[in-house]
Amino acid sequence: MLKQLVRFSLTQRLFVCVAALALAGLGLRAWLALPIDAYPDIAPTQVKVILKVPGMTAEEIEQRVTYPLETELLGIPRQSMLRSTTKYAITDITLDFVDGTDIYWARQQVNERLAGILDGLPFPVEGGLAPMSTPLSEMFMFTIENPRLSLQDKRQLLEWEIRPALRTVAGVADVNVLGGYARTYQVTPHPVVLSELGLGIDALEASIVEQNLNAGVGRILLGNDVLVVRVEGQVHSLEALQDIVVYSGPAGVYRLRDVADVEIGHLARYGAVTRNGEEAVQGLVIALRDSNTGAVVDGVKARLADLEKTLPAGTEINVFYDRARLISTAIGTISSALFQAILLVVAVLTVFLGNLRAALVVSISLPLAALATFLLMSGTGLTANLMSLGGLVIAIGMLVDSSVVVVENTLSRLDNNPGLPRLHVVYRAAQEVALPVVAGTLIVIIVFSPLLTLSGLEGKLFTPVALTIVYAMLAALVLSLTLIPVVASLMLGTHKAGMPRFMLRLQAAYVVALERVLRRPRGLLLGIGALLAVSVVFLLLMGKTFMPVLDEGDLIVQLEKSPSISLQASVELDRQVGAALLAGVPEIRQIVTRTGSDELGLDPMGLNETDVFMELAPTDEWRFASKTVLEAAVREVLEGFPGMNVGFTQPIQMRVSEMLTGSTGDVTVKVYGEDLVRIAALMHDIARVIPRVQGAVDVQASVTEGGKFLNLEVKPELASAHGLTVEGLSGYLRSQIEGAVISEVRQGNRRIPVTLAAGSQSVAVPATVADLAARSVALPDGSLATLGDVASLSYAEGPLLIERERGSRFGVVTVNVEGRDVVGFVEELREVLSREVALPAGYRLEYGGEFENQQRATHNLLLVVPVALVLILLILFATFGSMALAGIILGNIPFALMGGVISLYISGEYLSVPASVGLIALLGVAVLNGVVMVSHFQQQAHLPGALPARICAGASQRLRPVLMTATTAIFGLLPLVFATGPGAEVQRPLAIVVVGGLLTSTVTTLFLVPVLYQYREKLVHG
Amino acid sequence: MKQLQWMLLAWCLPAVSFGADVPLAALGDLQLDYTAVQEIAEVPGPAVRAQVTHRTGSQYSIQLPRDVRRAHYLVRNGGQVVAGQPFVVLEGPEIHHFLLEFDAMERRYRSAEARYRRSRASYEQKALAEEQWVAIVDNYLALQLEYEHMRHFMELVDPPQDDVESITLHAPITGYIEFESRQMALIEGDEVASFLAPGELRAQLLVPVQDADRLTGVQLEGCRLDVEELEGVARGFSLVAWSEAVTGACRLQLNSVLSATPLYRHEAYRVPRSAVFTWAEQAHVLLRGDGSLQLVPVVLLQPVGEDYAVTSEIDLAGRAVLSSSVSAVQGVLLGLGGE
Repeated sequence: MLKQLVRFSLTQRLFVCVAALALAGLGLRAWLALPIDAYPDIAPTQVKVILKVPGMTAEEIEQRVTYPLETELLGIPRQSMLRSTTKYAITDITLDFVDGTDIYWARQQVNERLAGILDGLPFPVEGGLAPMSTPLSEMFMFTIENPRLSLQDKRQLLEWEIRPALRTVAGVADVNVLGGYARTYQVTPHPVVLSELGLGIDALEASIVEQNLNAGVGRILLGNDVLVVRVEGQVHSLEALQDIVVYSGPAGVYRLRDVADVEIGHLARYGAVTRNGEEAVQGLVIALRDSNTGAVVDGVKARLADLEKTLPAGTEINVFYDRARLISTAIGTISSALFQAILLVVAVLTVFLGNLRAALVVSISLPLAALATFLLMSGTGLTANLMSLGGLVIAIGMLVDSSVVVVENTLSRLDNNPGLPRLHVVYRAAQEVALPVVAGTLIVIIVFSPLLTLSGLEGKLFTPVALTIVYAMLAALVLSLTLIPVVASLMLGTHKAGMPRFMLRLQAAYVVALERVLRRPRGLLLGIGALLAVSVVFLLLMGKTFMPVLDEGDLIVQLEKSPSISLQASVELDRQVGAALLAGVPEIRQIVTRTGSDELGLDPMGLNETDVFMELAPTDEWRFASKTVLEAAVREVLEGFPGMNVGFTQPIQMRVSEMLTGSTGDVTVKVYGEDLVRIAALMHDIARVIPRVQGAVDVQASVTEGGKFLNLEVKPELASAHGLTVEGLSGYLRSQIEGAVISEVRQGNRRIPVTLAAGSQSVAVPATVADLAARSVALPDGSLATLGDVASLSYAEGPLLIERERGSRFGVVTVNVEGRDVVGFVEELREVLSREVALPAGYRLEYGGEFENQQRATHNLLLVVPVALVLILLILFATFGSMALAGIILGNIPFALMGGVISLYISGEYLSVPASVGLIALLGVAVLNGVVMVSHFQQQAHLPGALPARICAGASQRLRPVLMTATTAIFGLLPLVFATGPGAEVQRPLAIVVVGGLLTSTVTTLFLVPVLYQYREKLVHG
Repeated sequence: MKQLQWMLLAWCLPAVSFGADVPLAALGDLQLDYTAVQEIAEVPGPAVRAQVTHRTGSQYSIQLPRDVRRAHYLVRNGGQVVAGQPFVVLEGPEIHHFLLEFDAMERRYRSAEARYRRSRASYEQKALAEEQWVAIVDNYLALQLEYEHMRHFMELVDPPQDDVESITLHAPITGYIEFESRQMALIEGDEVASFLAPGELRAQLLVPVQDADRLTGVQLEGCRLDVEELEGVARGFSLVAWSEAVTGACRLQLNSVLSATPLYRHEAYRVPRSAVFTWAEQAHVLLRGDGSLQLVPVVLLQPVGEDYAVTSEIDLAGRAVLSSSVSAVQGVLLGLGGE
């Protein structure tokens, strides 16, 4: 079949050329249309339920909402995790489903069960399913700037002009609104007046609700026509609202303005945003799951540009986070590495082949294989990202191998058969090597196949790497047997190409060295053995981590303050911290802080929690050499602000951590149990012990306890006498303290809630417990009493935060690891905690974080790589018909790996998943080189002469292919080793491993394999 | 320097837990603003119901002697009048009848008086039987009573002019006039108007029983009034308190119902709200000392504008309390920050 393919290609050269052009065109189109993102879609199928229960404490919500809902949701099949976070007035339930579950099916399942529960709740609950996004969907953030607009105006602008416009952009799931004041029409009743009129709050509310509406009545016939009749009462302005009649009786006609202050107010604030110390309003664009980030951001920018012209004069959209910047920088780094790699590989080929035309013929396969890979990626739904493009860079060095074999053989054939027709020579040359080329490619594919078995986050990250390599290798294989022979037949001359002079000299030196080694192999074996031992020691000493941290270009500092802090005090501290950072670290362009919860509740932080988002200047403007030093400078400034827990992260890093463990931090220690007080005590003990472990920074025990509540207990004997109920009192007080939305006023496309709330004047809002107790309450029977008269007030302590996982309560202690590997840190931490912290019965610890992925990936690879090796062994056995020869080739592998390990250790990188992928790649190269060498020895076996001489002759003839394979791979990866831009850090360990490994692998291929072959021959043939 | 800061914190935290000091040096670059504590004698309470009115019996009331068709008031209801100032014109045929009746009554009374005088001499001379004398006296006294009653009313009537179908009444005293402006019919015995002497207008408050004994004054529409009397009988959850008389400076409408701010006697301090935080289940402020902040427990009473009224066992008058970054200090006390 392979012969037929080569024959067909050479007989249909025009067709092949046209097909190649078509492939190039389609590949280019696929590249331009490929969704581009920083990472592959790493989120599991996840459904989030966000429910807001105004005024309820965490414990009450847990008991009345979260627990019953969880019980219901736990019955949904195919779920892998059910996690919830309950805080004051909000509960956030997250369900992860097993990979491959259809998101729409999952959402439908959750929705059905949610509806069943919510309908039966006896109190109002707002919210439901969160937008269909992933934790990485926060792709574009901006603030509204206009010195002439108030915070309320800015929020109105964002909420009612910008948000609806952006939501029409394809791929936008929602626009989260943060900060500022949500405008309301606020009704503050005068209890004294209401009491005089005998009107209760309920009656007032009913008056407003019943009058502020339009009602359809029906149709009447007018002759042959019909006329639609409706009753109109909807108000459209504050004045109209004030004029609603709420009482008509003996005391006269009273309008709303007579019995209440009706003014512009705002909804209770659960969060705030500041920009460079000033309060601001922030918009956060959330992309739909599976959308094209680049396209969505472009669409958002275009829509904003259109909108800006229609916004009030002087309004600016200040963009402080644009995922497209990171993507373009990271992809730029990788693309640049790819381009440089292609150039270097072409140069290397030219040097080794000593024939520019031949080099060009081989080089054609590089761009075409890349374009074909893009086409395949597009067809299989892969996106262009750091991982998939990184896979392509890794493959560059190997892509040319099959074409090199074909072209080199063609050159040899042309040299040896000058009289034959060129087309015939090319055909014979190509078909001769077709089988080894296919076998070699198959081996590489098998080598990378273990990556396809990775699960979890590492699977999502490295499956695209493996797939891209497989696609590229297959494309290169097909090209090497179709287009390359065609181009070779057109471009290669029949004149003798010969071997470059430097290659001849190298060959001569190699033969001398190999003869010496074959005579006295002990020195080589000892040397390589020693090096292997050193690499094993290095491997044991080396730190381990999951993934190198991608420099996202921005920095986030997470602050945790006193749990009972008010929003105002929290924002004031943010202002101080922001000002100090701006003054102390000029590399910070702007600072946007976000305190408390967002509008949608996707990230329900407490008032004591702040994310300080720092947009950094370009690195060439920095005083510091690296981001680590910059972080140290930021840390030093923050040390001047005691009384706050501080943590460092980056936008994507933060969300990935939250997605993995529900919290941020390199390592999380979860304490599972039932009693929240005891969990809190254990967390405190753990947080106290962790700093003793070397490398621990930013230790934070989430503040779960410390909630202080004022309990009001209705005095039943008095309450019943005056018709007062608990529900009535809580409703009344809610309107006094937090405010309750009772209706809305529509103004064009804007909807302004009407709230019953204490007025804007500070005296209207109870400010002390004594004040609250002395407040007048209009009782249902029309009489007036103070709150203290009808209810007893007492303090109670309770949890601020309740986190649950699979129905169990837990608390989290998070820690970042600095200056050492995460896996080693966790191992030490386990040991220290088991010694220092005694766990009561029913309580247990679980460790989480990225290291889990590292361990799982290692475990998976340790299971699958041997299987792959067995498969390779079978292929080798089938090829050589000898287990010993197959063993020699496989025996080359550890010596290839040792170079990778040693180079990794010397470079200071940790053993991460990318480094492991590099080791797997090395495995392939080592096997291929071994095959090249051993197969040639076997071909020479029938020739006369002494064994060492035959081996030397055979090895010297294979010197060029072996060196070419190694150097093209090394030069293909060198740009990645030296790349410094964001995005390079993820692939650098891989490149270092492969480059280092290729150096030792080449040496062992050239010297050790002949030595082992000699031993084998002596054993077999005496 | 930073290390020193954390060392200081580590050293002071155990002590702080027992209510000692927080060294200023441990507070790094936090913005530390201070506010001087003011002493106050009165603390405002939450709003209560108040009515501008008078005590029972303090009004001068005038009733209609007869039904009238129409009453044309010459002054504003609730307005101030001076003694002798015409305030209403009563019109209708009944007025003519009333005047005739008064005239007849006067004549009957004069006649009865003359008869009484004459009969008295006869009686003293034993010329008149006992029963006849008693009847004459009874008749005389009854007519006198009736006449005086009418005469008192007529004292308020300006001398009638030509029109015998209307009379004009003038105010008996200087003060506030009040009449029923929405009355449909004016029936004999109804009140034409009542008059309240200026010194009798005061605010009636309904204050919570438990706080009443400390009530000293009331703030009404920007006007401060002392409380003069607290009734001893509760009305449900409240007690009635009476303010001093409303002075001319207070522009309060008679009978108006208002939301009033009661003022309670308290020897308290006024501190900014931003200075107060909760520590060990009690409100505290941070008092500036020599190089340190001292935790001082306080009892929160009521908000006073943007401040709090608090009491403390320590004399806080004139002392400086921390009014910024207080939550950060609270975080320090909780052990947040630092590694």
